[in-house]
Amino acid sequence: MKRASLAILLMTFFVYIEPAIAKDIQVDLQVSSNELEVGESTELYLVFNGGTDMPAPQLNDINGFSCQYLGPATQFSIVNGNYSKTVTHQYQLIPLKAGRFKIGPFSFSFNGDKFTTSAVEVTVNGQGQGSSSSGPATTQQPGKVRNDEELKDYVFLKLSAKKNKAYVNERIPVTIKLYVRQLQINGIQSLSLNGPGFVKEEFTKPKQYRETLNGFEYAVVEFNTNLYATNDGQIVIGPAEMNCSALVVYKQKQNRRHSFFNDPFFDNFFGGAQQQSLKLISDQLVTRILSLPQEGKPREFGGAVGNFALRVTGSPLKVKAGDPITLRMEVSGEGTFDSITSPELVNAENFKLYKPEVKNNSGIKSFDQVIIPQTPEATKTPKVKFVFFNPAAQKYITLEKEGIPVSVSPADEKGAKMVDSSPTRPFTSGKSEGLGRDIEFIKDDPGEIKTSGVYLYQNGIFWLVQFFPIIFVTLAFISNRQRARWSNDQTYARKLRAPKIARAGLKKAGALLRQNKTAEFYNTIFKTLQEYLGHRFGRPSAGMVSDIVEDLIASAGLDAGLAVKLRACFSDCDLARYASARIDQNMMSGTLKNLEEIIEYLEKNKS
Amino acid sequence: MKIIAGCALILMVICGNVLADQVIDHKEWISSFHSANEMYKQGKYEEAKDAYESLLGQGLVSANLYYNLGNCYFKLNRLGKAIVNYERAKQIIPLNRELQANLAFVHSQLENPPGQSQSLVKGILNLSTDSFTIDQLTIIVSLFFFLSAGSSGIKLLSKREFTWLRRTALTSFMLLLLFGALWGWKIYQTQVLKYGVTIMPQAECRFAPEETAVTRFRLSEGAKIIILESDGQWLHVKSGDNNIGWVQKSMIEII
Repeated sequence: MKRASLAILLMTFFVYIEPAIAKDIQVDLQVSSNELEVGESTELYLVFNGGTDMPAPQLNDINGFSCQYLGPATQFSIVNGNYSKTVTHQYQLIPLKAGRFKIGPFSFSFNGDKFTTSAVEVTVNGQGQGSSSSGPATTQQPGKVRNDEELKDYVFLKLSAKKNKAYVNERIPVTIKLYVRQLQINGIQSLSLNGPGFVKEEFTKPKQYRETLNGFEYAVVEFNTNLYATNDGQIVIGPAEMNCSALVVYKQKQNRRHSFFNDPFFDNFFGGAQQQSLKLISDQLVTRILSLPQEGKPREFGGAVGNFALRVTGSPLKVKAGDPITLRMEVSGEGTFDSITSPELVNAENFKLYKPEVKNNSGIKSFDQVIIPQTPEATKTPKVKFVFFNPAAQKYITLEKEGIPVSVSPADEKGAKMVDSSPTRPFTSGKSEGLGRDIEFIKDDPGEIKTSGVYLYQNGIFWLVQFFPIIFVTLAFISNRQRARWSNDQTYARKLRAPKIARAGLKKAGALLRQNKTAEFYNTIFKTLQEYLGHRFGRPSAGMVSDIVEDLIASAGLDAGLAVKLRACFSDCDLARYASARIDQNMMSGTLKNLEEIIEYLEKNKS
Repeated sequence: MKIIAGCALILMVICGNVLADQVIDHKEWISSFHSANEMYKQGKYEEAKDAYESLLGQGLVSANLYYNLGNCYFKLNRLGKAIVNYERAKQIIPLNRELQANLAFVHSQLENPPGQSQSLVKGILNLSTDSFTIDQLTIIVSLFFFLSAGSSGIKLLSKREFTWLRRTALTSFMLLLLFGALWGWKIYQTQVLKYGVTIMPQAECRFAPEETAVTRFRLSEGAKIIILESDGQWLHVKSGDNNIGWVQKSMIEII
């Protein structure tokens, strides 16, 4: 009972109290800044104290501003048992023209309640100093999209390289700067830097800052990358190309040269802003690329260009002969990491060497080389040698790391065996295998001789043969369908059997004719005729008498002469039964001929 | 029944002709082969190599010819060329024990033996297809096609329901799909992809097909590579560890 009372109480709360709360909602209108410049955004907040389920109101028609909904925020609080809820809808406002604007009051209706907001005043100043010469488009007509040429003083790309002379494969840091003033860039769709003769790294995350150039302050977005020239000679870098969209502020140049309003302030006042897609193209750069000097080039040089350091570590350093040691060689520094090859191992006679595992992290390329000491005489890991070309010093530099002392104890037999049977096929620094192995001897017999590059699947006859199974399956399928029809469609099956019955009957009748057995002959003729016609027309054979057959012939639209012949045939049979003395050999021949013609006609006209 | 017997007879005659085309009697060629073998046995590896090469020049091949030629090159310490010829022989007699042993031994003599960096699926596919030649797979696929179609046809023709016939048709069809996939993979691997082997002690792979271009990586003798494209005297190649670069044609021999 108590539970039922509580449920009713709660239902009463949600059904009646909740709408009562909604009626007390107060709506505040706030902006984050009351003074703005054209193109500078601010936030507008609609604060519903007391909360509401009302969807975000649309604020599309705010004079002088473009407005975009950003999202809601809900806040709950319970103080001294009192529950309160605040819903705030947030919008972004971008002023489109200069002036003094009043935003609000706005009215909304929801669930029968009417909400009215307060109002705020916002002052929008023209950009920069308010001079007509400082705007990006003093001659622009409202609503007309400006071309990129007119905007080049306000948004442009600048391409620069830190070096105008470099060696092949030397890193060339390149910077692309996007300069913007009095515009708002809303998005960058693409940035590309192309040209022959170099490879490029990915662009790093762009930096943003402000920079003064030619007396103007610009917002700058800086993109950095590195290039590596692949050939010597002169290479052309760029141009860099960027596709972006911008909010372009324009000012309406009024035709009021001598009017009272001939003042830059009013140009700003009557201006506006518009979204526009821009394609920005930078200048090109020409860089001279020098080939690496051949003089003093060490044999071990693998193509690394830059300034590097080498670090070598090994573990474990106390092993049995045949146990692996991992030698980690880390090359760090600045330069072309892609072209760094594994450092050379010198004095590795006492070791078996495996192919190193290469890892390329940012700024460090590491080579994990597995080396296996073969004898306890191996007291040091091999010496490591790494050669690179230093462009600053303009010479080849060889870094050498002495071998790390190791303690190698003799291997037990089992351990040594395990290493020999390793599936990863170690290789020795020399060519001698020392295991008594050699290649298998040549083959005396030439084996199967065939024409070079000819395969069975290229043979046309082979593909012809493959059609046989297809034909076989197709025929089997047709046969299967035919058989199914035979067993399911009796009329069809009888119709197909009719000629066979006719042939057998005619053959028997012919024999009886020759033996001059009149009664048997006409019995056979009658029986053959009945059975054939029964099968032919899908009727019971016993019911095939003259009148019925004539009706069937007439309904099938067959020749009327056929009916006459049939009637004659049936009459002959009747005559033979009741007055056989009147029948002679000629008449029997005539009857047989008559029956043959009937059957022949019906077989020719099956449809 | 007569029709089936007739079809079978025609089929046998055609198959006989097809297979007969594959086996040709060349007495002179065989005689030259034996002469080259004699040279090899006398330690005249250079002469034997030339004799085997001239046999190849006649447009006829045999697995054993490639094998023996590989041996000659090994004896002449040209490991890259030896591997090329062993690989060619492997395409014809993939399971030959002596061939496998020689190829493994030559690999063990290389400065940088080949690694085993391939995906599991590729590994399984390669392992399966390496056991068969293209012609063997072609015949297997064809046999399963015949078996599958034949058992399906007989099943359609028979008036009774035979369980074994249904199972044969289903099993042979599944095997047809399996071997069909392996056959396609084998043709892709051997006929579509072009493989080559470094035949010089070291081959420089450059960033561009030019003498002056920077070296990107080096291929040691015997390294097996995939040829991506050809440009004049240069080949664009991909190494076993997925490095890509341009190398001079003279450094590589296509398998």
